[in-house]
Amino acid sequence: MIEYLIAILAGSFFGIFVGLLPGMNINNLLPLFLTFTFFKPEILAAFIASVSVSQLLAGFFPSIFLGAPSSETSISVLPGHKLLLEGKGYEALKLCLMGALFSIVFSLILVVTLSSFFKDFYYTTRPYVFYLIFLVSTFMILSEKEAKKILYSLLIFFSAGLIGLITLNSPLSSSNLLFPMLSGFFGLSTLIISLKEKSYLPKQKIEEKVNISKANFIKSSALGSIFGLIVGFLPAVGVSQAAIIAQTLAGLNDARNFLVTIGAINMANEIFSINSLYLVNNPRSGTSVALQRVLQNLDFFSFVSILASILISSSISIAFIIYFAKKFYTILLKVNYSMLNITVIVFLSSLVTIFSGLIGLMIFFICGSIGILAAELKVKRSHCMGCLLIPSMIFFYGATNLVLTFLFG
Amino acid sequence: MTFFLAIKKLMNKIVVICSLIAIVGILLLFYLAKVTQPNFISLNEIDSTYIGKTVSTSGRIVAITYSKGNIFLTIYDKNSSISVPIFSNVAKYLDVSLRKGQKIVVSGVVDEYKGRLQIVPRKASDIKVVE
Repeated sequence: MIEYLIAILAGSFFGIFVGLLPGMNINNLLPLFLTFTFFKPEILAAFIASVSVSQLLAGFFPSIFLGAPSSETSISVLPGHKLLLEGKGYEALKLCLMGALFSIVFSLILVVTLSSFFKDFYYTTRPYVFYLIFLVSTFMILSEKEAKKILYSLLIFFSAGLIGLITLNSPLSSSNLLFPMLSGFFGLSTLIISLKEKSYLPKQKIEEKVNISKANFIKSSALGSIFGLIVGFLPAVGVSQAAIIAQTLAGLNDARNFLVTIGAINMANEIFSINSLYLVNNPRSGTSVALQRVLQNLDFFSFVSILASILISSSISIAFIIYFAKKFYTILLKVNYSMLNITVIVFLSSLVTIFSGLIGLMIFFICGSIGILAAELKVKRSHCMGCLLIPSMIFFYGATNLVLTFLFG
Repeated sequence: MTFFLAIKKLMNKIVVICSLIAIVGILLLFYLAKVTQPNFISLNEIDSTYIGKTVSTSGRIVAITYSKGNIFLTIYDKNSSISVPIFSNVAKYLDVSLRKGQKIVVSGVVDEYKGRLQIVPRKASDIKVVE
């Protein structure tokens, strides 16, 4: 028992450290963890699950305060940075974390009540996913209302889509290119716009009360959990796509509701990926692949102990991240914000070059340019999600073969 | 100071600069994607470090099953084997008939399903019968 708790504690603090580093992703560290064969498999599994969940939660900090997201938190930069510049970065962080925490409860309820339905989820929903993504994309673009802006949005959406197809489906493709693509669209563009507009970090309000009604909070968190379920079971749908679909369908135009939903989707995705591993032995995330390797066969006891590790680790991480945010923002206030932005750009560029090579760096800057264009043309930067929505649409329509043959021969 | 002035000047033309970077960048990426061939990796060298990467490999078909329009191959070479699921949206465009014993070259993304590595071809031309 004590070994479990030590593993969870160690995993939580290691995960927080990794998550606080801008742009870091647990998938880069999983191969290292798999070499820790001197631990009992169950202990190592608890450690991996704790690192995974705590780095995910801590990742919201650099995403909101520094504009430097990981692939999972990329979409939180937009509403998070908006609140940061209003002096409400702490509230933005808290909303994401609370959304994630409540999502554990919602997701577990969904797991218990709908477990028998999950096995057929993919086959039942698959025929409708294309229509869902198509409608969401259309609605998202038409929401710009003015003809000129709709045209600009289409340009941004399709340019991003073309980059997504090249990045995810051409011979250049590799899972390492997802990070530069999403960091470029949402992180780099935010940092350069901040530089251009000479944004400064206003004094942050540290208030424990968040400005969201209970009803809206529960709605956003439950919605995030349901959409996390979709990510956990459908191929070609990631957390960012699901967040955009949820935002568009539920009209979550308010930044606070959206942040709660993003937190919830990310956490629900973690839980459903593990549930998917338990139910159908199909790992749907880097973490569940690692857990499968460690445990070989995920039985009921291991499944419950991993869920318990996630719950304990989340509680520890959230308490620590909130404490850290309160302390760290005072340091941020003393730093020249433009210099900080430049430093983060250099750091992200170096990270991209190390993990994704020169092609990754090229994609990072191209996507950054498109993200900036969206902001300068006064259309929503979320149209950049075309990078994932268009490849998903093509996949679910069953036209991948035709499109790829047409584009790349 | 000069550095910040230079940045300020650049920022005034940001839409033009970003449009140029985006157009030239997309064309360049597109060109690279067209001319780049996936790395050829021997079947026995493919391991979990390749997950998510696009590779090309070759092997002899040792098992073939059909289900709901999908074709599931197992190819074998140098004491190693790997699964090649050809999903229906790709399988229906295959212009060759696949049989046990044929040697094929296949390109696709390395993935893991139920603890086993597989190569998932994305289009029909990713599968070539060579023998």
